[in-house]
Amino acid sequence: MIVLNDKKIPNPKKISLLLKKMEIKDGVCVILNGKIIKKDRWEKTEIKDGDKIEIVGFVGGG
Amino acid sequence: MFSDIISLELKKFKKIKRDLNRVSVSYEEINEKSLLKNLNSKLELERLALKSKEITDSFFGKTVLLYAPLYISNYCVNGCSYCGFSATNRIERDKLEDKEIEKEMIALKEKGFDTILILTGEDRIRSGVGYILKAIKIARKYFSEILIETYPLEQDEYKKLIDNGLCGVTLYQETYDKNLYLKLHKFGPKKNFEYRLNAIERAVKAGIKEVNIGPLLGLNKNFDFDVYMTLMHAKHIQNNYPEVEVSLSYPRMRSSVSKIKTYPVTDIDFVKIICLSRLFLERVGINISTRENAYIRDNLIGIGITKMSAESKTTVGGYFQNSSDLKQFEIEDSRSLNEIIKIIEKKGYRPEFTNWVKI
Amino acid sequence: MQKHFEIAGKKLKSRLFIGTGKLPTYKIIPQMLSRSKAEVLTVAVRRINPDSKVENILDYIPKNAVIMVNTSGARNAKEAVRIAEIGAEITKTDWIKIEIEADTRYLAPDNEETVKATKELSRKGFKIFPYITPDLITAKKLQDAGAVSVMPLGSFIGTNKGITAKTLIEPIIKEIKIPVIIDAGIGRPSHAAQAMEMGADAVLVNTAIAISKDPVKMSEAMSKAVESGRMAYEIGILKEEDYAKPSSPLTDFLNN
Repeated sequence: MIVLNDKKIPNPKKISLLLKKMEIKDGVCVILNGKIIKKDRWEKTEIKDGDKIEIVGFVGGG
Repeated sequence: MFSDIISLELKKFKKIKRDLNRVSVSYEEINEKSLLKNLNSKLELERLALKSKEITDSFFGKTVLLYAPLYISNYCVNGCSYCGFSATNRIERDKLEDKEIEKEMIALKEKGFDTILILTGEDRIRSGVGYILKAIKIARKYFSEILIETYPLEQDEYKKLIDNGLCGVTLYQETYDKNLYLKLHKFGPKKNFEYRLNAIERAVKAGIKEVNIGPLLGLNKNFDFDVYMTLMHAKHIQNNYPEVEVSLSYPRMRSSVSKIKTYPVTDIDFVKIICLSRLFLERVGINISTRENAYIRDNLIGIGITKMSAESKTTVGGYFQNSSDLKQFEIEDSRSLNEIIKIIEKKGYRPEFTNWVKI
Repeated sequence: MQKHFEIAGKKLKSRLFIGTGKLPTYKIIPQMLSRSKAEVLTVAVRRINPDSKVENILDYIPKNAVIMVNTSGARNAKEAVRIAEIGAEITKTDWIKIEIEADTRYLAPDNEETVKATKELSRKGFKIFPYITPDLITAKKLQDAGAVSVMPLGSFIGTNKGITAKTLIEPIIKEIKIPVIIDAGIGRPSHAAQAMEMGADAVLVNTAIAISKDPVKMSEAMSKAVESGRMAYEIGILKEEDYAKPSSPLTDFLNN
């Protein structure tokens, strides 16, 4: 299990797989255990049990 | 703490009320005097509503936040004479266990909610802090924003819940008139007026991000008093804790489950109260629940409210499994979330499901 | 009138920047940009929930628009730096508006924290547009810290009161060498025109457009006001005089 945006979910193992499941292609920033994971590492980076992921994007703002 | 200054506020209220004939009605920047004058005068409602709209739109944007309430337990040891859950009412008492809580939350999540308000009656044994904590932990799996409306807690209890994901506390004083309050709450822990009054500040000191306060309109013959004191309470929190988001709610009593004499607030006064709250405290949130009917709720969108509950059930649970328990209050607006979303959009506003997902 | 103005290494035609907060829907964003010809938009950074019913604003922002990431939500420099780095990662933008507030009543920016965040982010190579309560000393510190612009508020966010901080902004425009962009408080096109007449390099407008009955038209109105105000400034605005001046000077005859 991992924590995604504060919620517990089964470990998706790879960031690219997680985003695929969320139907997100780009336009987000992925933060793994507090570190920003650049887009070119989404395919390679492995997610371990207990990891914390935040998916962050843009919303309207001044 | 607000309880330390409430007697001063009371003196101020009495003084202003005494000299009200010297104050004029105002539609622009209002202070305590013009607030009370306005509450007690016939007003040009259209003008007032327009001003309220301008201010609300400017500070909150064209958005309305939607949330769902979930009652997880109706056990209650208090004897509030106006409430369906009163200990004196022979109703079926129910309390959801973890698995049931989770099922209800999943059902709400699937409807599209991202903000949940968890409610319990007051019973520290059957729905103690540990039970509430568990519910919050489960809610954290599904919702970005978690609020509770339970009995008043200690500061360290709030801290524990906050550390586990609690974002907001809702607590209504019912009435700020202590004499009336004591008459209505003859037994149970709730009879402690000051303890309840200061709970919001205990939560704030514990680090809560958001608080919701308000009176129960209909209890006090002089609704202007309770509205005035609610606003003083809100102002006190805003001034002393400027990082905290404060919201107001003005639930109106429905007489069906009350044993006492009530003083219903008219629709006109209700709208006045909401608009005047907006003029007095420009950046305070204003909430409207499903106690109000669809017609009133829809027409208040864009006039001053910033959040609404939807698809509410005031029985224990009730989303996953329909419940036949006694309700805490009657629901007047039983429309689905999707219907409410459509109305909000039709009015030119955007429904939002959370506002706290900061990183 | 100049065709372009340069800021932070970009050549822009429009001196109107638009904020995307408070909008009733993101769908109108493309039209707002095409009608107003604005090129710069601000956005905020928040967690995305996969299962939420929320539209993604990026779907509505044209590829050629310049996105400025707003750090709103940050209560101190540390949070602002974090939000900036995260936001910059999303679209590879390096334009950051630093907005740091810890007061929900006025949304007054924390000038001190803003200077801190500017120092750190400028060092890291970001183009910083700091949003501040107008203060000449803070503006100088920001200029020294490497900011590419300063953004003094006209009035507090959402108040639509116009350039009430005029007397505090004028020295900033006069003394500061980097572009000055007046942000917040512009409630009507005449305010935007006034900001430009004062000599501001650009304005940022959010609330007045977002909540107007017709945001698309209002963005166009704002853009026209910005153009006319700038035009007048470039020609040379007449000073307001306390005494009437006859067109034929009375004592000119002595010079003959």
